[in-house]
Amino acid sequence: MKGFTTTDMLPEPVRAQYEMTKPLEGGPRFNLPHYGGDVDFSTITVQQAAALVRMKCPYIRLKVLAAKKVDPEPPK
Amino acid sequence: MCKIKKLTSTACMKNAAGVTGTGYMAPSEEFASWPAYQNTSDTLGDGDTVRLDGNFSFTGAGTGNGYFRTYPMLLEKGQVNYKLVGGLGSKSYEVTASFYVLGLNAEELEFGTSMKNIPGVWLFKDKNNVVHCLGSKDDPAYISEGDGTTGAAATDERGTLYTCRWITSTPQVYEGTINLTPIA
Repeated sequence: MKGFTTTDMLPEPVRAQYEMTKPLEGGPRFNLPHYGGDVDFSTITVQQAAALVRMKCPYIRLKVLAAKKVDPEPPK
Repeated sequence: MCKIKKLTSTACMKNAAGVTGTGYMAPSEEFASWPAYQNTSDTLGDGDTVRLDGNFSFTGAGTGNGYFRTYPMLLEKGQVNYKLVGGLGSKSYEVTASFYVLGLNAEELEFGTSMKNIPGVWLFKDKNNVVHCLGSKDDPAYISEGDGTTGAAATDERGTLYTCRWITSTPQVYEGTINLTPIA
């Protein structure tokens, strides 16, 4: 999505655990005045992503892990 | 009659004076649209009638444009002022922001040459993380004064003090993202 910062642009270790809440117009470099200042979502570290989530930044979140698949019990 | 709430004091209020060390500016013509005020309720008192809603959009600004240019501002030399001007019952805000850019080399002179006449949107973040926004897409702010000097003595400063000026009926506080990446 040209001109937007999306989950695909996050570094692979970050993308494994975090995702953008929605495509963010512009970027990947932003200044987020209420969330610690300058952020580059294309080079962000896992620690920086965790800090943003702790600060309740509305643009990034922990991925919801898929529910563990449980095979149904066989009929008795 | 509009609903006006009382203004209450805040316990343990953080109220440091001054602005932070980086300024932001974008030409007003690069904005695709302008955000409305939040106005989540029709009751005045919680600040949402002066807070802009959402993030700025630069869609269509063209390659190499569509972002906020940054510049360093000298510590304790920047401030934003809100002055009521006009006759009784016809008041507006004259919002001015002054900032000092160190240096008088070719780069700093070029900065001044570029900025001196451009209609723009200027952001100033104060020490309480309030981002004061001067100008808008259709009602830009301008540089109103610039006073640069090499200084004469070793105790002097070498640089330029600028003042940015905007007239408005309603101030603008911005809480969204500040895009620093030009459109590719």
